[in-house]
Amino acid sequence: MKKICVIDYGINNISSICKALKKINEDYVVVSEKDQIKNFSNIILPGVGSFDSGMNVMKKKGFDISLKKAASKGQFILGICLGMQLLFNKSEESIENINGLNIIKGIVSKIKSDNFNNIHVPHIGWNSIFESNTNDINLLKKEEKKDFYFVNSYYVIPENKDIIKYYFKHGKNYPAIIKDKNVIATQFHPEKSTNGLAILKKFCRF
Amino acid sequence: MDLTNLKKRIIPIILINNHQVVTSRNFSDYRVFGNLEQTIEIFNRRDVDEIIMLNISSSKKKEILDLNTLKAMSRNTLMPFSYGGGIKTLRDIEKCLNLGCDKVSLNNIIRSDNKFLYEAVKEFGSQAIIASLDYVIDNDKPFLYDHLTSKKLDIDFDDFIKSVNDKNCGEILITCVNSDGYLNGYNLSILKKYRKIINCPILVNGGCGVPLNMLSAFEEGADACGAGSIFYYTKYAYKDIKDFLKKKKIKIR
Repeated sequence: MKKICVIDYGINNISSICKALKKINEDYVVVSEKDQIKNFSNIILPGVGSFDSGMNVMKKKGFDISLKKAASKGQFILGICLGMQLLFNKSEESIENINGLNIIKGIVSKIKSDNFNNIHVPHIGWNSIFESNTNDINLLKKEEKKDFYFVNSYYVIPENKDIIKYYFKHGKNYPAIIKDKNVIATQFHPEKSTNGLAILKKFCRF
Repeated sequence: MDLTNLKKRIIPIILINNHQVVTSRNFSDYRVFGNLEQTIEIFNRRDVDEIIMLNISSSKKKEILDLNTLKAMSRNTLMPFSYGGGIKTLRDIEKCLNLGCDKVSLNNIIRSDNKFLYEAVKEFGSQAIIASLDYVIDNDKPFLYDHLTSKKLDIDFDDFIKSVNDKNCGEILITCVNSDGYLNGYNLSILKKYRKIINCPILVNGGCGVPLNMLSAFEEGADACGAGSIFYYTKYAYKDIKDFLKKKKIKIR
């Protein structure tokens, strides 16, 4: 039996993700205490805001430890947007130089703007994603629309490039979806569009 | 070769006055278009890229935030949306985000409180903050405009837009008061001038009457075109505009 939870650690906007889960008829529980997550097979980690504000609350609430445990025990984790970036070791965005969750090896870096070529940062709006040659997950059907809603200034650089399954292009190619065993993450917001709901649905079935 | 696949956005801007959807000319002469929920529902069905709601009554009457409007917005829709109007504190922003807003639009408060934008960006991240600047052209020069008093302000537009950019806001929405509601096209010279020095997305607003106006703005480097009247008072449906722009090789979702 699949049991899905959404982590509410205070600073993240969970109303969109909850609305999306309702739309695809998935039962879920919103959790705000670290010990609750051990009871769930599929854990969703949303997030908006800055890396520091996100990590500080995660640490204060003890989610850093319980999420790491969940990842090592094989529970499925889906990180969205800042939730993706928090999974890594470090971020250039961190002013206080705080560590991330250390669940995926690698760092988070800033997208470079290039006014001459119309590359503006933050990267906001609908961008299409495309497969990497190590893509082995069947998250999107060929005929499905590939535009998703992004709102980010930073991107992830995993040490192991094989975990990058999809890219988006904004000046350079940056990871859009990664999957490292039981941990999946998207830089975009799947909860913001109909084609994104298909991805959420598949995650709920893992 | 294309360096980005990011699409240009077409954003309906819904003006709300006393719980009704209105349009304006030169930021006055308000005309009621209809009911908010129905208007949202129409745009929702058209699968628009994004919506910005600006509640002018809540900023004018200095009321607190109109949360009912926001709830109406967030109830049935997945699409990204932003809210502006009556935001005065960081907690107001938090309320908006908790009700499902992706971004908030700040206008008066960033003029009256010099530190507010910086603090908002620090707390919520630049991606959540739109700096909204209204300007009026006088003797070929732009001046900041205060819609509360309907007066041109003695603040240098150049300095102000640069300071907003330096404070790392997520996007800048520039609305030309002279063009507002006249369907004669965006002010392109201002867009062109500031595009060179602003590195965040620019949303242009005020004056769109035909799809060609959007084409011109995108060609001058706008990241998104905001509009109201074109959707309500012209023959062009949202899809017509997109089809036209696609034909002109603009990247559109």
